[in-house]
This record gives sequence, C-alpha cells and structure tokens, in this order.
Amino acid sequence: MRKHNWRKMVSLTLGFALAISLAGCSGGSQKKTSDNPKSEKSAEKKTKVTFWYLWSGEEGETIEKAVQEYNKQSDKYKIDMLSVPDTQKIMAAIPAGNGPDVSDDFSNNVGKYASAGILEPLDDYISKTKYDTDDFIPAALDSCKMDGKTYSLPISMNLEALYYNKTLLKEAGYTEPPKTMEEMYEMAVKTTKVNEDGTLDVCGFPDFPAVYYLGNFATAAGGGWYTEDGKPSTPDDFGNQYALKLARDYRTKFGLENVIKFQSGGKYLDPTDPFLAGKQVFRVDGSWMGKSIKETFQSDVDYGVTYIPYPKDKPELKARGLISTSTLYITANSGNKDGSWDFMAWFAGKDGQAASTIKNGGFPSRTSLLGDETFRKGYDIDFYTELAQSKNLTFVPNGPKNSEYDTIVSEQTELCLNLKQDIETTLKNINTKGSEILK
Amino acid sequence: MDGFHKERRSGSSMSKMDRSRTKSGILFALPWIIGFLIFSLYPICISFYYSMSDFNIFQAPKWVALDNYRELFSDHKFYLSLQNTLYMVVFGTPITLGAGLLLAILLNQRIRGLSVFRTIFYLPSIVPIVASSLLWLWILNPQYGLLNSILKAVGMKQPNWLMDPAYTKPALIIMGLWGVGNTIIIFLASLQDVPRSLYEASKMDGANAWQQFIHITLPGISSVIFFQLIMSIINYFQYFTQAYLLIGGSTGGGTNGMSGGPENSLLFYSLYLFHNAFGYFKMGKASAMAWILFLIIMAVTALIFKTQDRWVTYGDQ
Repeated sequence: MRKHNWRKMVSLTLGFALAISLAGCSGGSQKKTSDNPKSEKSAEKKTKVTFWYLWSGEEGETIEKAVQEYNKQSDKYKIDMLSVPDTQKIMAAIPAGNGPDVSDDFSNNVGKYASAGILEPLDDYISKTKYDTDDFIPAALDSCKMDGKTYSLPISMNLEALYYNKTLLKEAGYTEPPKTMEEMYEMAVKTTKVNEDGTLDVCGFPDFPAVYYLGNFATAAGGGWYTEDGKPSTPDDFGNQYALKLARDYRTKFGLENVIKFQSGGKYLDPTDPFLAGKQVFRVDGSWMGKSIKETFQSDVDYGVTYIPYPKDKPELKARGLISTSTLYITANSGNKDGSWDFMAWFAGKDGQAASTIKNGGFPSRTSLLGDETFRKGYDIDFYTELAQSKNLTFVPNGPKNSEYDTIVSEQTELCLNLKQDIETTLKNINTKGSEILK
Repeated sequence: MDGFHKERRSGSSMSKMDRSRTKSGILFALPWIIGFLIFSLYPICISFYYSMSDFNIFQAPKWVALDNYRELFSDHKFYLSLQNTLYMVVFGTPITLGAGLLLAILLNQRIRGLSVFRTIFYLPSIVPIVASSLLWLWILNPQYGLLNSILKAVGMKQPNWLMDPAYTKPALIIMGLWGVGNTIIIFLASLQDVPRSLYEASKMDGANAWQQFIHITLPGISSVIFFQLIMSIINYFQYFTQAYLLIGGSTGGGTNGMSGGPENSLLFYSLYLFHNAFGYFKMGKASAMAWILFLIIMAVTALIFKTQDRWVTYGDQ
C-alpha cells in the first residue's frame, strides 16, 4: 500500500514540476512592456531600450563604442545592445514580443517591413521633437519612406563605384581608368589571363561577386529593373539589354564554365577575395571597400576607384547609379518608443553618425557631415562626395512586393547570364511576371 | 482469486485496483501528455488554421479559406520544389541505402582490424550536419577543392559542383554518402541476425555467394530494409539543412538571402516553405505547404506499407 502511494507522489511531483517549468518559459515574454529601473546607478532611474544590430566583428565593436557614448550622455535612457547578425532571428523574435526596440536594416526592405506592420511610423516623432530632417541628403531620407510616410531614419549612404587594379591595367598598357563601357570591356578582355586548361587566372570583367554588378551596369547604362514609379522594367529597355549583352559577351568569349569556376574560387571580403588577391581587374563595390582593402585585410593591391562607365554614345548618363541606405527603425510593438526615438534620433544625428558610420569607413547621410574631419580622412572621400552630388543618382521607391519582384529579376537574369535564355525572352518575362506582382 | 472476483462483478465498473492502476498510469504519462498537447497538438491544429489564412506573422491572421492552396497549385516554384525534392527521394534513397548495405556487408566479414574499420566508417556520421556541410563547401570547390583535384589527377572532367545546376544535387548526394554511418550500423545489426545455419545449408546445396545474397540475406534483413526505406524517404522529403548551407556558402547570402541555388536547382520543398514563411512573410502559404507535404508523405508511406506483404518477412517467417 505504501509503495502505491509513494508512486503517486512521485508522478504528481513530476507533473507539477513540468507544468511549472512550462509556465516559466512563457512568462519570460512579459518583460517587454514594463519599464525596469536600472540597478547599477542607484542615483538615476533610466528606462531601458534594447538595440539589436546586424553588424559584427570590427564594425560591431565600433557600434558598441558609439552606443556607450550615447549611454553616457543620456540621463533618461539606457541602451541594452546586442550584436545579432541574423535577420531571420530578429524577424522571428519581434512578433513573439521578444524582439528589440530598435534595430537596423536596409532601405530596400522598408516596403516589405512597413506593409507587414513591423515599423513604427516616425512622422509624429519628427514633428513633435522638431527633428532636423533638412540636413539629410534628400535621396537618403526618401529611401526610408513609403507612400510619403517615414518609417526609418538613414544612417549611411551606400554608393557604388568601379574599383580597378592599377597594377594589372598598367601591365596591359593602360594608365587611365575607363570612362565608357566600351573602353572598360576592351580593357577587361586585354587584361584577362587564362590558364592552359582554359580556366581564368585573372578575371578582367567585374564578374565577382556573382550578382552584384549587373544592376549597377544596367542603371549606369540608363536602365534598371524598376521604372521611376516603381513598376517593372519594360522589355525594350536599352540599359538592361546593354548590360546583359556585355556580361554575356565576356562569358561567351572566355567560356561560361571558366567564369563560374572563377567565381567560386573565393569568398566576398575574405582573404580569398580575388580582388584582394590581385586576381580581379575590375570590381563593382561600395564606399567601404577602401577601408576593407587597406585596413581590414591589409592587401597590397594598388587600387583606384572611378565612376561606373556609361555607354560611349550616352555621356549624359555619367555617374548614374542607385542609392540605398542603411537604416534604423523602431519596432511597432516596442515597449519603450520614446526611449527608442531618443536613441535613434541621436544615432542618426551628427554625433551618432560620426561615432558609427564614419568610424566604420561608411558614407554619412547628413550633408553637414560631409565636411567632418574624420570623414574626410577616410578612403576615396573626395570621389564619393562628388558622386553623392551627381544629378544622375536615383533610387527605387519602396513598395510591399519589391522583395518578390527582386527574386524574379535575379532568377531571370541568372538564366540569361548562364546563356540558357536570350535577352529578349528574359526582359519580357521580367516584365510579364513582374507586372503580376507589382500592381 | 482476483480474476475470479472480477468475473463475478461483470458490468461496466472496474475494480478498485484497476481504477487506481489506471489513475497512476495516466499520472505517469501526464508530463508527456501535457507536452504533447502544448508542443505538438496545439501547433498542428493552429498551423491548419493558418494554412487557411493570410498571415504575415506580425499582424492578426485573416481567414481566406482555400486561397493559399489555390495559389500554390498555380505557383510554378511549388512544382519545381516538389520536383527537386523527388529527385533526392528517388535517387538519394537507393544510393545511400545501397551504399550502406554494401558497406555493412563488407564490415561483416571476418578480417583483421574489423573494429577499426567499423569505427572509421561510422565517424563521419557523428560530425554535426552544419560543420560537415561547411567542410564539404571546400571539398566541392570547383577550382581548389579536394574532389576536383582528385578528378583532375585521374584525367576526368571536373564539374562545377556548387554552381552548375546539373551538378548541385549530385553534389548533395555525394555529401550524403559520406554520412551513411548510421545506416551501416543498423544494417550490420540486422545482417548478424540472419541465422548462420541458412548459409551453411545453402552452401551444401551448392549455392554461390550471389544466390545466397538474393535468397537468404535480402529476405532476412527485409524488415530492416523496409524500416530504413521509409525513414530515408521521409527524411529526403524534408531535406533542408545541407541545401541551405550550401547555398549560403557559395553565394555569400545570395540575392536577398532567399536564393534557391543556381537556377533554383537546390530549391527543395522545405527550403521554399522556409522562404515563404520567413522571407516573404507568408506564413499562411507556408502552413499550407506543410500540410500538403504531410499528406504526400502519408500517402507514400501508406503505399509502401501496402506492398509490405509482397517482400518483407519478419523474424522466423
């Protein structure tokens, strides 16, 4: 009899223990809505704001120091920061209520996030605190809006240009970088070095990383995957046809398989990166490249940077390119929106960008910072400042379905570049399938 | 004595001892029951509800009845992902099971250093999937990788395993072959269960090794083959991890982090489901995909079960 009761006790206890631990798991998500007074400094009562960011490594450390600077000068809020270089993890945590108050992302996702209800609209905060938005470079602020409403603040501009290896060009007899697409193609062909078995030792065309350059070339040639009002590109778009043909010509000439093998021979911004190893002549990349080459990877590549070329008979297109920005946003279900706004306003302000974007070798989004001393000491600053003021800079208006359309574009252009589908069909498919999505 | 008492009290009520036994049985099972209800049954039911809603994770779901399913049936990527997955099921299953069986037979011979060999062949299967996928990214590298270096040395063609759409899935199957350790162990155990007397008797009747294999070994282990077949098929239908890592490693994040590999050759069903759920924020469509997969796997498994009588023999049959 006693044995029987003992067994019951054990099973009851186990059952209770399990139930309690289950309840404990779900209880953790309640912490978001309450304001916790800080335990360290007993004199002040600062409310907490959680900040998760995608930066990691050296860049992440700079961000950390910037946030500490904010914490020191704020007497109302304290930022709890964490490096989370995994967008999916952030996206999974937010709806569960376990996500951050503030996070960073890129302008091309504003449409998707805003229409999913993740982003807190910011226009009220801007007007309430009389925040200075005039100082932002106009295209940068526009990239953070959808349907005229502001959903993010830009913290850096991502401008792209053509990097080139001076040594390899000089070997082939070129002392000046190309101005037109035709010049660049000629140089690319002349500077390509082929092994005995046909594989590429040095690749002249900027065909690494794989997808990066195509959109830039299409835009520089007057095209682009979106029309000005955010609709799919038309099948007869000259710039798109031009860019696709250029890439296909190079791949046909040197062998598609050899080019693709070259692409898988290294990783982007890694010691095996072919440009860093002096094996790539031209490269489309962004303003962070200089710092990466010289400081992060300490490569001895003698590089130069210039505008992405224009087709020879369209000089009016010089320096045509797409702007995108890195952004900060407040999650719509944040428990401390005032604190989040205060932090974000500082981070996207002059001091914040000086401590983060500029220190990371990026390009600030505020006109007043273009003269900042530290910024001007960065890499290729004169060039990028001039580029940022080009009248031909454009950007894609944000929309909820851009992400799906982008996938269609990359699938179709991949088939085209892999010589499995001709240009006409590709552009027609992009327009037809794209129109079903971007209504 | 007790049984006699029970019979006398025939009717619906159980004896006191039965009732208390049942109670303690349920109490012991209670932790599992609670866990099942919360972590299995509830998510299953709610995912069925989501599959009929338009749900982007961040806002409340909106009922749309069968729209998600309709959208799937007219989505060419749905069929493409099914095709890619079927490739792995149809080719991956026999290749990995066959290799596992062959190696198990080899490791069942009486040779010196047998335990060393068995360990060596089993070791790769305990390497975590993520680590081994990243390792294979380098082995499969078309320009510097080990595999192509070997092929070059023997004068064979060196395909672009990671970027050529015709070779990406075969690359995955090769990767899978490396980790057949678990299959080998299970087959090994079942091989040793086949009675030696059968082999000896057949030898006396003049059977050669091949005939022995066909008529003794295979029927003898058929129940284990049956089990392995079903498990392997179910696993290949849900194939995800290796593909996800291979894509991430070779394209460095791809287009918007949602690539399906070179020309979508690695867009498996689970991967496409993942894209829909966390990339496009279409949890409703992803849930519908999950339910369709469940029905497919159930149908295939039921079919295999039906064929059981024709070829599977248990124990001492």
